[in-house]
Amino acid sequence: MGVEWKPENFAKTVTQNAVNRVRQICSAGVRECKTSMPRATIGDHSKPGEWPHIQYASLVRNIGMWVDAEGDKVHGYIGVLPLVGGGKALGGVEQDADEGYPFWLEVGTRKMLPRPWLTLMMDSLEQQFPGLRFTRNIGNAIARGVTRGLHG
Amino acid sequence: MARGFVLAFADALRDELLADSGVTGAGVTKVFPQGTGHNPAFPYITYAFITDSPRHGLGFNDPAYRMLRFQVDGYAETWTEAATTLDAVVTCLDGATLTVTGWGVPRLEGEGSVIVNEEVEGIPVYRSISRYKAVLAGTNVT
Repeated sequence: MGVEWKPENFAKTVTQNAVNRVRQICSAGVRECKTSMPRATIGDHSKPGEWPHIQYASLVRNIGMWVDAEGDKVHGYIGVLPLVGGGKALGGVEQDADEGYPFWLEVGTRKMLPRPWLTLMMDSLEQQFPGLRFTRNIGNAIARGVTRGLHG
Repeated sequence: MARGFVLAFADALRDELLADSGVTGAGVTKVFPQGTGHNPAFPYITYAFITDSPRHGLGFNDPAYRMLRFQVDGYAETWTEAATTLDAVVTCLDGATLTVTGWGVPRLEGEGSVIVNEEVEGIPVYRSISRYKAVLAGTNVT
């Protein structure tokens, strides 16, 4: 039996496996967000430190992910997809398009404590995927209204 | 009875910030929990606890460590002042160890920072946001 070493194929396989793994993690993050936010009922608002409750779904509807592979680096992004179409969300439903809304939920304001949906998702992923480590770019990510999400 | 971990941690965090010459040198004299403080003079600092979860490890019945994520915000009237405050806070906290009375000595690790303009009625208020996690290991984690 002969064995032939094809480094280019090997590298491609490694990258593809990494992409699949990162995609799996990002999917789990999106699923975590979408399934953990409870629907708001009258008089039942989210409390500080909790998942925000869904009222108009302007956050939960726009949470998404994508994976970039560039050379030997694979980046996964989880967060709010950019709002498009002049105030229309990706789902095509008109709403008070405020790209800052997810950001302010995550970090709070001077008069509102955080409903840290992104961090709760990170906590959950860290427990589901031991060894997972988010890069220190959360500041940069949340700065853009989480339109680019996590860089993990 | 000993103070709960988060309350004891808050005490240690406030003491650490106010004892740091870089932070006080940036003009900060007040540190509040987020959402409190009645029109304090700029610059000032607030903190908020984001998540606090015990973590299990392979082979341990009880949680092996505890991870607390928190946020420190510096409020300032100008962008430069906000940047100075942020620099001082990050230098003070990133990689530091806090002595939390009755609990242990968790190590802090920065998770990123950003400065935003949180405008109020047309008046700019610059807010530097930095996130950290604190890891408390050992048997005394719950």
